Amino acid sequence: MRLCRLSAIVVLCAFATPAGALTFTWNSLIYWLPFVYIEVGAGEPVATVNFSVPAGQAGNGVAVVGTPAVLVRVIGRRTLLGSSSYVVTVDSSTALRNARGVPLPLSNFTWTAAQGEFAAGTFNGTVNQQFFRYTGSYLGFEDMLTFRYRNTTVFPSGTYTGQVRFTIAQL
Amino acid sequence: MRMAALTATVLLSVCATAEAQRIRLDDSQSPRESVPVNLALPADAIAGVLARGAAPAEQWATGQTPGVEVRLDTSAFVGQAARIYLTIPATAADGSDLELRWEAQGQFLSGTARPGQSALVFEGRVDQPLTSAVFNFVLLVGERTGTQQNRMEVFYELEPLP
Repeated sequence: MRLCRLSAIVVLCAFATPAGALTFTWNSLIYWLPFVYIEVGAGEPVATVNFSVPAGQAGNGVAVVGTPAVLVRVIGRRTLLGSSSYVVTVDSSTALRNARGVPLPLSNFTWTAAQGEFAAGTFNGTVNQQFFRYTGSYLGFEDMLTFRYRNTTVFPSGTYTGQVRFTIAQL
Repeated sequence: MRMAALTATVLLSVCATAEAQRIRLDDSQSPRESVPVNLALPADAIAGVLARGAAPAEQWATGQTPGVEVRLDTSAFVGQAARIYLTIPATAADGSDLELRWEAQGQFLSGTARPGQSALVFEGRVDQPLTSAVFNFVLLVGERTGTQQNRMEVFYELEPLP
């Protein structure tokens, strides 16, 4: 008889807990999807680098350092385990131009990376020059790029503007 | 027979102690029982794990669910001083990379909790039979847990104060 009473009391305890709980649900798919990410400039839609060639020094071969240096971050993930494989290309096919439309090819500019995460190079004026390629277990890299104007040619005076575009693609 | 009687006494004692400390509140009158969270890997979170060699398990996805109203049945405690806790039950999976953060309005407190933890969200006198609170929740889900489970329960417990 005592055993019977015990069973009844225990059951009542269990059901005394009120129903109801707030349930958060989420889609785990986000962890399984591959993704790539690139950031050029710290939070800026377009990073701007300025070069100023002093009067009388145009075309003298002394490179002009652009300011500021630009943050570049690249991240990619192919699998859940973090294996990454991606390529970053740069489009430098559109030359800078001054107000009169005089072109200044982007092949006149070079870059170096402060920490050496990205190899130094020179824009080659094409649409898909390889900037960085990676396959391995690291997810991403970041570094500060310093751009330089080679200053080996004399161009008509004026302010020249143009853009280069970086693109990352999963491999 | 003596063994059976002893067992019954011990079990009853455990039940009575738990009831006296915290009472789980009925929140079934809340407008929502389920909160779908749209997880994202925001740029900031990605940048935060960008350090070379960061393990994938250190990645946290986040999802915001503002304005979640919770209605707690406190009818049995009107006029009493009490503490109310937000509790996340321990999960089967390792929940160490699962975290709920919230901001609350009015008398309710903001805080943070992980599975297996409780956090104080209210301390004071219970004035209404139905105590309401609005929370702005942010859920952070690490990859390790995020790939093993896709839900997490939260409930509320009341501790009467003398």
